[in-house]
Amino acid sequence: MSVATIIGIWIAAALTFMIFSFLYKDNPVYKFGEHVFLGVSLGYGWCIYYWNDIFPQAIGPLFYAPTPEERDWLVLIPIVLGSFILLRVVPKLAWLSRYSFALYIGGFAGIAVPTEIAGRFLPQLTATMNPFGPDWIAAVTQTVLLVGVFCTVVFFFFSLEHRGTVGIIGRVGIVYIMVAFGAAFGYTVMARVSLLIGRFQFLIFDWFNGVILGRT
Amino acid sequence: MQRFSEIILNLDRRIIYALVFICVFFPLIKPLELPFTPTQEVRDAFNDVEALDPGSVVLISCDFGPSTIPENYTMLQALLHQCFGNDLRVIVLTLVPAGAALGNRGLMEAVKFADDQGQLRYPDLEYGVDYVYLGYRPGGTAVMLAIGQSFTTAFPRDYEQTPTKTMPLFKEISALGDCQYIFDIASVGYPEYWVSYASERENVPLSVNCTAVSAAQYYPYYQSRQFRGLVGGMKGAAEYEKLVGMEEILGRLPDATKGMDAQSVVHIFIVIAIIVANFFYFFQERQRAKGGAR
Repeated sequence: MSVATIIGIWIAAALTFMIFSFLYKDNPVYKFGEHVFLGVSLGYGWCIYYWNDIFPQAIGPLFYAPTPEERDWLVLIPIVLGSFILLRVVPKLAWLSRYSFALYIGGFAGIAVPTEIAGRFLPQLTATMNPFGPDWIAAVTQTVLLVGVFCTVVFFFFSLEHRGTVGIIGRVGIVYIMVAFGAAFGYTVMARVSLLIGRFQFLIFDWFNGVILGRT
Repeated sequence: MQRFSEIILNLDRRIIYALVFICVFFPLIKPLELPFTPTQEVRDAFNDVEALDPGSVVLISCDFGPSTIPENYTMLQALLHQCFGNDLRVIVLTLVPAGAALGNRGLMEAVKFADDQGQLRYPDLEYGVDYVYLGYRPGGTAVMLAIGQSFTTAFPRDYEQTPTKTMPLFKEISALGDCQYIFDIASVGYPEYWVSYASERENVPLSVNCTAVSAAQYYPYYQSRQFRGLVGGMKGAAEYEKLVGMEEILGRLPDATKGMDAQSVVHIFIVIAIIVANFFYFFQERQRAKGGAR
């Protein structure tokens, strides 16, 4: 294990303990760890964005082209439009940002609407209206699904007062929504525990076993 | 009983944390080897990749960051070993900035994996022919649409700034439609976009490994077969590791599998805690109602 790796593991372990210290109570050590995390994340994110986005797509084609003839002046259009968005912070010039947003929203809506309808909306509708069968288990599953979709949609239909039949259907919809929330909550607990296990695996195997005890 | 119920219902949260600590710590240092069986949605993803012909190209999108390594990174390793073991070619990319270094690390770890004697497991792999790491491109859906047109236009250079046009792989595979399979390993909401902007548009089957938090919301896509398989969280990754045979490959328990004992013990603890807390809550409510009636 290289010295750099060992130092990295020590720093990571120390930061993990700093963050874990919040479980006891809020304290300056936790705040320090939190601020380091925020700073490093921002710095890392900025570098990644700069070298993958801003430089190759804006600065490079203008100022670092192999020859002056190869300069791509067309990139000035997105640069100017992008700068207009930043002008929202200047009240007198904020109106300029509308042109950029209009172009962006218009273009993206043109791509997204047909794509989403063909790629998500219609296939999901089709799957909801599958034929009953081939066996009775599939038929029951399909019925449960159909009833669930119908009742949940009715629950979110607010143009009719939720009384009588509509009220009963809406209440069935709530039951379905609660089951969905329960499943989502169960999975969320599992996810959070997984992250905790990940940190413990790092502390036990990488830091304690690997660095302190020197075992691989 | 009344006093005891008050103690339970007003328990200091730090005691709960300490109990969770114990439930995670001990199964990790002393594995219980509790059994678990791969679920159908994980089997479907595995079987789909197994069924691909040698030489087929799998696009793997590493849309996750360091915060979900326990759930996603282990899956990436299992999938790469499965692909390389079956002579499949892989194109790896990421749509999240934090995934750029992780995707590279994951791919290189699998490519350079050697046994105890230092023998490479996949000695014939060649960069640009059998595998490529394209790195990160901002834009999300725009990148998906762009690779639907051309890989080399969307990614003129790979992660190491090597021009992609010169790579033999991209002379044969020009766009996403030429790939045989997409596998999205995600901690963010990209799987839904991979469905509509890539898989459905280009007619390439898609499977997903997501964090457990997102798994519940993705089941409709699995039910509609828009996701051919769904590998949810660390549990799904452990199941995939089992199907791939990662224990035999690595010569030790793989990470997600190693965490499953702790996962099970913590879940048992949480279920017991919920039952106990609810029992005492209703007990106390009943006592209050009785007191009020008097």
